[in-house]
Amino acid sequence: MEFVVVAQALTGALYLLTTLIIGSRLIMLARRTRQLPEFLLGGALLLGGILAGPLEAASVTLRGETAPSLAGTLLLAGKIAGLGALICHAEFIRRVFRPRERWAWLLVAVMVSCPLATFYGFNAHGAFATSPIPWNWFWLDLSVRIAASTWLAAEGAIYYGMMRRRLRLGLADPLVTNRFLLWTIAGCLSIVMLFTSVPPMFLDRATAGNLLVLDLFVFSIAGVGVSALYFLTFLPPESFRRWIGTTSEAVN
Amino acid sequence: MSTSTAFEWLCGELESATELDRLASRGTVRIALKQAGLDPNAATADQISVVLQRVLPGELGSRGIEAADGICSEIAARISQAPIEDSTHDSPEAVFRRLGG
Repeated sequence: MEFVVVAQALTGALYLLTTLIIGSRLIMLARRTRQLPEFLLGGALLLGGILAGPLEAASVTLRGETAPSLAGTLLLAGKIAGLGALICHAEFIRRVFRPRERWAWLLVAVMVSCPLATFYGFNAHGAFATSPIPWNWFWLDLSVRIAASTWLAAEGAIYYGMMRRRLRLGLADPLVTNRFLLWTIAGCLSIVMLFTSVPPMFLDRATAGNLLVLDLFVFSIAGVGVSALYFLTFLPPESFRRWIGTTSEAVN
Repeated sequence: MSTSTAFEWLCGELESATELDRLASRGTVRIALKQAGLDPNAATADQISVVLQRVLPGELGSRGIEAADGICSEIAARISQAPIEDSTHDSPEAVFRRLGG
């Protein structure tokens, strides 16, 4: 169990470092290009990965310890950062993949409204003070996060299919085409991370130790996978670029 | 939701150059674009040009249009003078090209 906890801490640190590097790079890119998509994605990574996740995790840890009021404050700060991340995330997908569709506007509005409703629910139950988390509102919050990641992965998969057909006609760059595949897999692994982040909040170490070990193991593997895929997507090394180019030429 | 000017122009050209009616020509172009992985709402002149050379002749041939290659070549020759405006939206492809440096 201890080994898995250490491994989880290391992979968590790797994930934080990755989101910090990639998020900062995207914000700097946005300053240079003055384009909104890179700003939104960089904002989503920094707010979600660097602030919301760690703050909420710290809140859960402290809640069972001796500082419930600090836990409540951290939860509130984490929720605010998480809302900012969700707005950036959903607006990035809408703006990039569905700029003309009205249903996408509606979906973004629903995705933003649900966390706002959970703010009310959490506050009404005193979760931002000293009371425990209200689980009904927690599930609503988690469902929206999973929905946002699912939307992201689905749009990536659809566009990857289109890019593959373009590639056969010489209408697409192999590296950019591959970027949509990496993005889709990273989106799927993010969903795994969201699902596996829940059991540690419910399961007891003493009675469900093996299940917790398995959960933390899967969470860690998914975290490492997302980190590696983000690097290959947003900071591809020269050797990877060459490999994709060579593979594409061989296939064609 | 509006389709791109390149799509509209190609549909009009195809309707004039073949016996296909408006509905059939639009359907044929949509199928050709889908085969090429392109979006009718965002297709550009360069992409339409490749579709005319590589995909559309086969689609027209399968609909019993004779001399499909010649028709497509003639339309392709006129594309540079066509009043086609590029989309004002960044395509996902353009965004992802930028994001990866």
